[in-house]
Amino acid sequence: MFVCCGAALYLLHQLLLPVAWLWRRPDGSVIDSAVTWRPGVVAESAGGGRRMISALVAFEGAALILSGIAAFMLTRAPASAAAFDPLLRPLCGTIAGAG
Amino acid sequence: MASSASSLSGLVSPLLRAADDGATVCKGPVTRARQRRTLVIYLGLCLIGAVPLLLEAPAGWQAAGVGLWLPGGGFLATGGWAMLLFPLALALFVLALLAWFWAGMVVAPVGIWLGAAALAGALAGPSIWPAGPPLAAAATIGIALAFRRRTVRLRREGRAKAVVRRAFLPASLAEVEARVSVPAPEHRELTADDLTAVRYLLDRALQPVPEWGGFTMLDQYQPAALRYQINHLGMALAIVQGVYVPAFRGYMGLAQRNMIEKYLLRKVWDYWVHESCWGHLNFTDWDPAKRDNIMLTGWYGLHVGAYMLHSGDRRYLEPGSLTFRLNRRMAWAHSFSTLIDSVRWNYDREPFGHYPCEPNWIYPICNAYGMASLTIEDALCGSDKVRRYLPDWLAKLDSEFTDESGSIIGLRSQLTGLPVRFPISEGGYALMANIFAPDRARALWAVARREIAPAVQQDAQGRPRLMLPAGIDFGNYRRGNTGAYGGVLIGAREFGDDALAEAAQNALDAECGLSIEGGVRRYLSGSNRANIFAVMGKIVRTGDFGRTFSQGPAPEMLRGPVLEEASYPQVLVARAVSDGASLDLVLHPGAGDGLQAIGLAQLAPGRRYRVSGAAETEIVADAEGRAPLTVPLCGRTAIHVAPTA
Repeated sequence: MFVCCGAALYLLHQLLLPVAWLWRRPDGSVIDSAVTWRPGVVAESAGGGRRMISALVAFEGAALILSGIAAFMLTRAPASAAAFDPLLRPLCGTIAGAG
Repeated sequence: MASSASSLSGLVSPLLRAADDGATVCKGPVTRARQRRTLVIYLGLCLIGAVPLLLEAPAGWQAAGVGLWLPGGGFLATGGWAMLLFPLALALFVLALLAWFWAGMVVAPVGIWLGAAALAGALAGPSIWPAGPPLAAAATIGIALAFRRRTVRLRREGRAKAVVRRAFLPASLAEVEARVSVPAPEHRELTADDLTAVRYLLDRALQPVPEWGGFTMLDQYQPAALRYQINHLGMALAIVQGVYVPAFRGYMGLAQRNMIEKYLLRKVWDYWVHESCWGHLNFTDWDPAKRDNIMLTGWYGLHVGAYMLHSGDRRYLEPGSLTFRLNRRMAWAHSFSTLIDSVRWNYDREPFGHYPCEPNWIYPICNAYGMASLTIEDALCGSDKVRRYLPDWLAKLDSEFTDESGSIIGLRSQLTGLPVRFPISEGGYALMANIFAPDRARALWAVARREIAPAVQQDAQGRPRLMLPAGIDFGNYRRGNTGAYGGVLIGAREFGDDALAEAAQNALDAECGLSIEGGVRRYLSGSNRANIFAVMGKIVRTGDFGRTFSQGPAPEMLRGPVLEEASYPQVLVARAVSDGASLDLVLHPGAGDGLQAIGLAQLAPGRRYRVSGAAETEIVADAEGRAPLTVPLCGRTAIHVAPTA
């Protein structure tokens, strides 16, 4: 069950990561360091990224809350958890290689 | 209009050829079947979801069932504080759709939808909230109606746009035909200004293969990915090679091979490992040149083929010459031929006639690269693939991927048949089509140029300037028009629209942070990818793009004397052509005037040559057909090497 929650969180993380990159460099005034690069010169980061991290943290927070609620409910109500077991076991096996 | 329509037959979408009855809905048979299947599956889900309600099953099952109607809808049935999860689940579902589009993550929307239904079931108390199911049904119907209304509006607007297009198309097409019929000048030479632009490419391509200086590093899924930067850079170098310096090997060949080999580094293509897992549910075979992934096979095939076509180097036809190595244990040995085999195999099996990039998403623009890769294989290997595949490919483009306005649909879901808007103009398709379907390309450009024309205005100095509304640079997802102006510039040059090209070039120079420093031209407000477009636009002239990727050099060009060795950036090569016996070079200094040593090859062994423009006036080729030369570089320096009588 916890493996499933972890897998869900991982999936959401993977889901959100590419989306979060969208805001990696939100300030249009910042020059793309790739363009100013010259041979022999190590490219410096163009900065930015705060909004990306905030977005990632916010979305993963939401994912964590959902996963937490799932875990809490399933541990508090073992009968319900048992009902979901046959459904979740193959999924867990596929994702994490464990039942 | 009837005669105009018949003259357009086969050139453009059927919608732009004849008067529309106003009721045409643009769905080919495959699209219709996929959309019908999607609807049947959804209605089946709704019915299954309703069964627990009808049978008055335990509350958990009822809530989970309602969750099948709409993502998160089950939380409404659960009632209480769990209802707050409804908007959260809907928002997550929208994000999941974005991930589906962004990275082919098919499991994301399915997982969120079914997961939310299961969670709603688990959260349900002894009974459901009675108002929940009607509310969920109302929300479902409301969302469906909103989408329906939007679709009807877009269709109406599309038909109106088609009427306008039908009116201007014949005259615009006649103008395009007149412009492209002007032959390109025989003497082709890069100017000193052009060379500053080409140096932007060479600086990046000549660094060691594992280094990434000058490349934008963001995500590896969508347009900013390294693979597109590498492919465009390689294609731009192929244009320089094919058009201006066909008789120059040296660092021009090395730069192109570096780009081909850089592509094989894991970080460029291992996105396919992730996409295979979450898109195809394939956890074992991540061969990047097998099923789908035309964004790799089509693009890379074109890139590699162009190098071989114009250099005469055939090394990438050898089995295993393009090996994608994931780790010590796993690698997939490919060559140019197996890339093309993958394109053909996918075309043969895909009912849409076009096949996906990411799992499930079919982009016609990437399929244009796929068809272009078959074209270059025909030119390289004497095969006949375009004649076999193109007619059906174009027919499916018209029937399955064209909207009511006659525009090509940006992308379509292979699984559901649903279309998605994606910002690619007729101009982008025109450029690619000029490789394998020039008539179609001209018609597409005839539409594009007329629709761009209103954006050409006069600047404060009275010069024409393209003025597009603020857009996104898809090379780094930031605000900026460098890529858009560069794209228009390439298209305008390719189709001989010099006035539009001048307006686009003026816009680039005025708005995009032009910098020429250290002999390198760049636009500071653009991404790497956008800068590569700008370079391509600067060097392309009428028909260059289409010819580069469909026709190889004359045999004597590959057979005759070549410039084999030159130092970069000290020696910049603006022209290098051979007629099979003699060699014409135009060189510029890249690091100050002075004497520079260069090396010639493919001379007739032991033969004596007369030289003008170099320190030597006569040279004798060694037993391998090589000879060194010393060149006093001072501005534009022309050198002619010809066998003595």
